[in-house]
Amino acid sequence: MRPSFARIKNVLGRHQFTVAIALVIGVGILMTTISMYLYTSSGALQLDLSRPGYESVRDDINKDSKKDFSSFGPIDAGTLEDFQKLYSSQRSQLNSISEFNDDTLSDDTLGVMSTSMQNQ
Amino acid sequence: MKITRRVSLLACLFVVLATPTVHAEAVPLNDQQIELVRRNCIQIQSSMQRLERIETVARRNRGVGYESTLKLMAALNSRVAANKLNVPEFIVTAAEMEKRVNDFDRNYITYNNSFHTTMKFANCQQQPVTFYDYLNQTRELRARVGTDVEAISKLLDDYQKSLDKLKQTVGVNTESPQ
Repeated sequence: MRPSFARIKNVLGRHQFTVAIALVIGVGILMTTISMYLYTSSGALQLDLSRPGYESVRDDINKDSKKDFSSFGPIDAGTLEDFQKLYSSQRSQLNSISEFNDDTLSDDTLGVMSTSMQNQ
Repeated sequence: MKITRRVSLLACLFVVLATPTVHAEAVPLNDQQIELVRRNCIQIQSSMQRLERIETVARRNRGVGYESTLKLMAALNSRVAANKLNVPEFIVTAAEMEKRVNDFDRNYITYNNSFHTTMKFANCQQQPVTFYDYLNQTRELRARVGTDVEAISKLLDDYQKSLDKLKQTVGVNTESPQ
């Protein structure tokens, strides 16, 4: 065994508790960093309405549909009607949400400049 | 040393290639317009903050709606297959829908990042042209999200048509509600 390695091993052996604490803190920082990276890169950040500042809009969240359609069973008029009701309900909910194609960010809406100025 | 330089060069190249390119139509601003952007940019950023809250809810509700719809589609598709009914359009539309929903998720993240960059741009009064370029880029990315929403809506229509076809096959005479 090389002398320097033996010395390190000796020091670590004498300060086991300190080393353990340092390791725990190190692992904690690493795991937090990975979690934050995943939270940001996966898009969960964009969906997280529990962040401060979003209290006022939490009431606008659509409640998840509790009704499910079973993957098993026969296909008849009744089951197709049941499916149609669930499908139509989902569609009407989707139709009531912003489609991201309006002029919310247009110059006129934001008051950047009027149309007449743009044409100059 | 040489290796370090090569690695740095490769890293730079990777960053450049990996950065999503957005070609916002750069309309040159005249002096009057630049002045207007400079004067209003703080107010614009404040409007964007309000809009961000509304859009986050819209994004969340849309995402949940799409996931629930995909779950419904998967259940009906399994049932149709188990009953040996031949409606291949169901499978094709559901697969395309899943792909489009993934595009929507990805494009929304890019749009939201650009939105934040514009909203938090600290030197908007000192650099109004750069601020306006960011704003244009954000608009273009928002339009992409809008295109995804439109495509998904069309796929939902297609699925409804296939469902109507299946109803006729099975013998349900009721018209689908739109």
